[in-house]
Amino acid sequence: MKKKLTMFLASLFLVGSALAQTKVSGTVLSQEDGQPIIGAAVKVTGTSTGMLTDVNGRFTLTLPTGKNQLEITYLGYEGKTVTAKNGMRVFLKTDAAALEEVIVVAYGTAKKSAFTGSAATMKAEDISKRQVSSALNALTGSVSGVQVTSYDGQPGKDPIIRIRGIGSMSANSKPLYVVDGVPFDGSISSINPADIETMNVLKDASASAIYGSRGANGVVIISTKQGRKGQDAVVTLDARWGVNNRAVPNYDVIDNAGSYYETMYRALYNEYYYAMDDVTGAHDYANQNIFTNEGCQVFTVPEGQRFIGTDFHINPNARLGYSDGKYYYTPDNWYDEMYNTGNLRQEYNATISGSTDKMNYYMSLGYLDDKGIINSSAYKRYSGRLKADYQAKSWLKVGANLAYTFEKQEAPGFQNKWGSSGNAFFIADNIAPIYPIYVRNADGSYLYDAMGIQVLDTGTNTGQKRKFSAGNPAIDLKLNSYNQEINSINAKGYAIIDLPLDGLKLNANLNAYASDNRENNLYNPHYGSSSSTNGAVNVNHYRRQSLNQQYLLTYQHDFGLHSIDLLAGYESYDMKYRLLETNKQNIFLDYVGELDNAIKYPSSPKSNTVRYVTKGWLGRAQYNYAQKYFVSASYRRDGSSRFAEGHKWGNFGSLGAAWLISKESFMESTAAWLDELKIKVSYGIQGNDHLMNGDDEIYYPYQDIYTVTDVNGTAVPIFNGYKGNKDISWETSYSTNMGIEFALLKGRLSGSIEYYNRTTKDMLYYKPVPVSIGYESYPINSGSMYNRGIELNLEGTVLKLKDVEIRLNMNLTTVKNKVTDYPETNKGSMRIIEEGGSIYESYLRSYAGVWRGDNSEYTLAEGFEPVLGDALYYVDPDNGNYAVTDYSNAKQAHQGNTLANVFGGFGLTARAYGFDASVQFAYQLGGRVYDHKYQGLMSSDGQNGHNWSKDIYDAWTPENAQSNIPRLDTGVDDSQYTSNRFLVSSDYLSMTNITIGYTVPARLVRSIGLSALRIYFAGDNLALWTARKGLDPRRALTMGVSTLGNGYSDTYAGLKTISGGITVSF
Amino acid sequence: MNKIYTLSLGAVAVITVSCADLDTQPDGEVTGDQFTESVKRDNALLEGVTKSAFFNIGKEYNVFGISQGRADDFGYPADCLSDGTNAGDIVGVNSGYNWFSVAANYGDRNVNYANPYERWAMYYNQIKCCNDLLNNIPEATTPELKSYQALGKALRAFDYFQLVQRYALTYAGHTTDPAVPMYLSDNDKTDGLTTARQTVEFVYNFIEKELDEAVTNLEGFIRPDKSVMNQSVIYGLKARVSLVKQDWDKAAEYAQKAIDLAAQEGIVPASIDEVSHVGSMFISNDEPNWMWGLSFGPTNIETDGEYETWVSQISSLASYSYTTETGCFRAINSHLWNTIADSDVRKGWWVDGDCQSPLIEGLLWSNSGETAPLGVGCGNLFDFIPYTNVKFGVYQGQFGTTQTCGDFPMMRVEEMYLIFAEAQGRLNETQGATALEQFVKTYRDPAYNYAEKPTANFIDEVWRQRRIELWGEGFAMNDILRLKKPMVRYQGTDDTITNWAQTYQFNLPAEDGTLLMTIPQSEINGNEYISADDNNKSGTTPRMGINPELRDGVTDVR
Repeated sequence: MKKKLTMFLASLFLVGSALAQTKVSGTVLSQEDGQPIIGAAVKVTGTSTGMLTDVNGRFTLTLPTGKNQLEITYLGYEGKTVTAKNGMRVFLKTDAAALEEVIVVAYGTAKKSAFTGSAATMKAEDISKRQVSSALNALTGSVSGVQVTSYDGQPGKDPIIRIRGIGSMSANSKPLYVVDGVPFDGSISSINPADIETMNVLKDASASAIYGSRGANGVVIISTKQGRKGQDAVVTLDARWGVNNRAVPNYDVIDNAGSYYETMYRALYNEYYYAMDDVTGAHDYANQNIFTNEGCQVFTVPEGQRFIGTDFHINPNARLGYSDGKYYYTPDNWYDEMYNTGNLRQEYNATISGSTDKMNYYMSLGYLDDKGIINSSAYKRYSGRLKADYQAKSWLKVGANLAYTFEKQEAPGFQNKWGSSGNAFFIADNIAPIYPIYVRNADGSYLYDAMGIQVLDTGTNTGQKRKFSAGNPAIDLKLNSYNQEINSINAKGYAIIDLPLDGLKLNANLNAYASDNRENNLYNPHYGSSSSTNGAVNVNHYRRQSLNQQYLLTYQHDFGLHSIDLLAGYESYDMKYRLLETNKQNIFLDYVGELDNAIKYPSSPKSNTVRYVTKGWLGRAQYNYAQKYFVSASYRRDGSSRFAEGHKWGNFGSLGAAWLISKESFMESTAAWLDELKIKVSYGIQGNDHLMNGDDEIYYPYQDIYTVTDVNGTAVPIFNGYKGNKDISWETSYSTNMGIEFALLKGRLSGSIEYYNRTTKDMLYYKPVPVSIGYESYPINSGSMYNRGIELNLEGTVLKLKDVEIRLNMNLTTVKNKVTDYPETNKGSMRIIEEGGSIYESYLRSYAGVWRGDNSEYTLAEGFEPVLGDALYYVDPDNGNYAVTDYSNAKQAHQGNTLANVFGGFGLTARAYGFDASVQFAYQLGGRVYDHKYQGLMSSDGQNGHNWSKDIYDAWTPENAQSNIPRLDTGVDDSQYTSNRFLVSSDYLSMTNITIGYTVPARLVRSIGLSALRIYFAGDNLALWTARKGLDPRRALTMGVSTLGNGYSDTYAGLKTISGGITVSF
Repeated sequence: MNKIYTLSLGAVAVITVSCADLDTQPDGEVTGDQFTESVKRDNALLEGVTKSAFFNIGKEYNVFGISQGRADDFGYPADCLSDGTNAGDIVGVNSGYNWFSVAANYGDRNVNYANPYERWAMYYNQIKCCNDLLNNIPEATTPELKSYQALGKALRAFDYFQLVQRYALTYAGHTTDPAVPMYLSDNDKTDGLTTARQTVEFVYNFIEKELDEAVTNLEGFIRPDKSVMNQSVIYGLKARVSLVKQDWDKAAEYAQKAIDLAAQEGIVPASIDEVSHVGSMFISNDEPNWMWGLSFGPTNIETDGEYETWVSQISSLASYSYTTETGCFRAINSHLWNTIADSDVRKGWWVDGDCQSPLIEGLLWSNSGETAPLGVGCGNLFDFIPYTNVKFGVYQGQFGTTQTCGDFPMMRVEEMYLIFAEAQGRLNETQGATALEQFVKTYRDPAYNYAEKPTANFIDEVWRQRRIELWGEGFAMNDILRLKKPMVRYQGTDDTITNWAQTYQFNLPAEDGTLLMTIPQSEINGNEYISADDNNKSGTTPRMGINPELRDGVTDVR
């Protein structure tokens, strides 16, 4: 408890009454955790008699005659008046509104009321509700201005975070992560979410410009927990157990072999019929090719009869299941088989925290075991943290914060690779429902090999040669292993020296981070891709190490009502990343993924090192008058190794002001209902040096890059396609923020509304050049764009009774992106960037519908002679040419912005009689997404065993002439033709979390020696509503990328987790 | 208090020391600065640079890089495979695993597809390599530098020659047609560079000038290995160019010159015996009939057992291959195969309709512990399909090896004999016929008799020989365009002889727009001088059964 406070309050109540007659004693306790409250003021109503509670929360008072009411008050708690009774126990409730909220900002903390910038905070209690391996996932829908997307559901993977839109074109738009005051390099999933006290998102320039080079896309400040002042050691144990399932189901695909074959038959029939105009020939052709086209026969057709009749229906005498004498073939449900059930998730955390006069400490141990949703995929995290500070001398405070994490990640390869035969998600979602997953003997029993391994159908190992995907991801996932063991240490040491001038301090922070990732992959010698080489192993090592140094001089002083706070300092950052990758083949033990278990040397082991260095000088001045008027200014000069000599340095800074109107004397009349009203405004300039090369980090973007290659025995650097430009320098963003914050009705309703405008100038991006020049593009600084919008946050207590409380929260962010200056037009295969548009302006051919033979419906382009049911595309809609033609003669056209323009979340929290319940939702509106996966499922030609969406049943036929879906036709390669036909709304509503808990009354738990006991159930990611079943717009922020190799549609699916847990404190 | 000051001063000292250096360099990759500087310091490094320019067109993950890991991105051989498939001579399987099905159905005319992008970009990437090499030789002061300069120019000429044949109709009758953009000196910066399509004539003039210069400057040059050109190869290129230009005298002269110079290096046509060893032929620069080849050895692939190489996609003999492990074998058009005489050794370069060939009799392959006669499925290996090629060999001749590397022929002396014969025959049919007969008889079919040729005329007979001899080596579509022939895959609806899947059975008329490649969308998007309207017009994707009446004079003879 606060020592100074004790003395101050004690002075008020020093005078006891000499007329005392009745003695009462009692204890004051916190209702929250049942802990005694030390130093609470207990005063006899109507007298000056009183005292403070002792370390056990106890008090003893003598009541003057006729007085039996006691007023009990304590800072941060709601005061209470009770009737005195000997041996009484008084519980005080925390008073959220009464606590002056302190938020963590750049290089320090600030009172929320004094903060001129824009920030949003997520607190431990909300984070702990979520069953997430990365705390960032908890931000989904929780705070305004923050968008969270995740294309990789593998547990342990961080999602992608964007703050107030996408600020850059080719430079990285990811925010800076700061952990306990120091920029953090590791993955956020390496931090145990249970250690996090707050995640504070700094959104505007006045909050983050002082981070200079790295704050342009916002800053997420993660603060870990610490001991509460004056608190004895508190031990908290938390355990939760749950199960994972796939959150979003597959698209509505054809799920039985018969329907699939009938559809394929129609496609084959149409190919022949519409080319040759010959019905009999078409039926012959379709029947001849129906099984060979797919490479799999799973129906037995009576000798001499046709499988499918001229009525396009399966011969009633055909029956499912086919044997060639050696094997028996019948389709299996790949989807059901691939996602194993019972994917346990368990998590245990233990923390101890407390403080003494000179020392504050926090220790934690955590263990997480998340099995994902497929075989061989899992994530285990063992984390430990020790954080302590010590007042060594009156003028010297030292501290350390050590976090060690050991992560064991089993992340099977290829799960995010579109089209890969090793991708269980791609295969299970897209394979036609005609293929067996297991090899069966002729009698229908499962085949096991001599080693007892159940033999799976690889598409090549039986008499039936599957044409969709050779191999079988299920056997890979079962027999291969993928292990990454990651040790990471984040160690911070610091010293704060009180210099002789009062208020002047020197703060030195040194932070070392090191992460070592050793990856051992084992590819089994029995089945799958490495059986030819008798197995293979990869052993890789990745090391990231960085040193961050900060030397900060701070000065804080009050002159009457004037208060100043100054900061000057230097910061440097030096990061090194090294990799070593090796492989070997031909193994002995089929379960050991080490090089010594293999004999054949690798053809190309590789290693390399890259370095990234920045340094900067920084300063900040903050002033306030009477805690009413606040002004702040910051400046930073930053240098970066990513630019060439002469272009390395940039100057950044900000100005901010706030006015706490509610403190003005003229507002006294509103004091009854208006707790707080603040207006704030800020402006700032920030830099970004983080030019990316696609999704790849690039540390030397100004240099042409060559790779040393073996050219017939000579080592020669060969240009690897990356063209640099020595003239590039900082991309700069100019941000304005204006806002109003308010709190009404004693905290019953609070919120804020803000307007933001971030203009990015001298954008770093890759200027496209003719491919014929020998590379595709080179980086330049040019052009500008803005992201602007409003953010709204509201939190209200709609019901507040003695034992019942219901709170609602909501947030909403609008974002508008516009390219305001762009020297050229940058056309991609799906998007266009040009002045006046957004950076995610879609640019696709325009689908016009289906040719129905009606000349009045469409104008045909010259020379175009469509066949009935053909897909039609407009020739050149951008130039007003709406004649229709085939795909290759149609031009790309503007299809509008695809970015969502509104997103946010809302939720409800209720408490009643010890029970608590909350539900949180996230949403997004007004955007569109390119639905690649659906495109693949709607291909007219049914690409060799690729499944169809059931929507294909509605394809054009002469009988279904009004359809807008082109004719099924194996001869028309329409399948991958990208057009606006597959651009759909990305609106979604998701239920991100439901938590229901019960806190056992304190007096019950104390009897068993505990101070608190809570049991709870939580469900994460339980529901998603979108334009189409199977579509998950949260996988990509924008329209995604094409199926040419890395679409985000067939990646590791998101998880749905349902858990139960228990929390105990003592 | 002094302590405090001391400490603070100490901290300031630490700051000064810790001022991290902002000049960092990668350790592993090489920057442009490091490259230029080291070459300037040591001119001898330019020999390697020259070799690397040649290597560029055949390197793995050629255009899109390893991150995309595309299985059709293996450079020049991928262009040859696409070319042969387009032309109808290489038959591909209708399968989801056939990366070249876009060449089978002419989907590769789609400007957004990866295949045409690769085939465009790989030549231009090599041109950039050549220009970078040339820029590193500001003045050719020594014989070495002179030869590197000559090689850079000659290689660039080869690239433009390939491009002009793929993106424009043939020289004769089309000299003023738009061809391709050219980078004559420096393509380091786009500023001020006109990247419009130059005319066919302009491109040919440039090619000829550069080749002439190269021949002169390569006098006396001894190449390090056959991955690099020398005078004989350049004469070979000049012969090819002259043939297209229908400059018969020169074509014959240069072809002869190439043959003579090659002979001085010991390069002579492969004997019948030498081309009957399935597995160890058409796989190595060491073969005596290769004048120039792409070098692609074991150290040039990322890992052993790589699916993204030409061997995996063309050769039928290695495991870890798209051919053997997904059944996407490359077969010859059975119509063409049927024209080969039984006495011709080349008939055995492909298995017959029953998957037999005299050249594979008694040979075995094995996989995953199983062994079977070559071509009979075992382990993960598929059965051969009818007319599967066994022409292209496999690393060290080991059937079923997982090592999917191998050299690829760029120019063989046999081609020079065929050019010589054709050019001679254009001037004087008898002389040409004699030359042709002598060549075929000596080296391929002892029973060959020109007078009993199956084709109707000399031109068709030379073409037939070229199609058989050079199958899969990238000449098929160039010849169709040069000879102004239709592209013929099948002979009408009742044709059951062709091994083309019915879905790919169609023919295209001579000089049809679809026979030309289209310039990729990204070139058009990045090139202010070429708009979509300036692109080649490919018309609609050909459908099953079109133009059944067309014949080419070769595939319809038997």
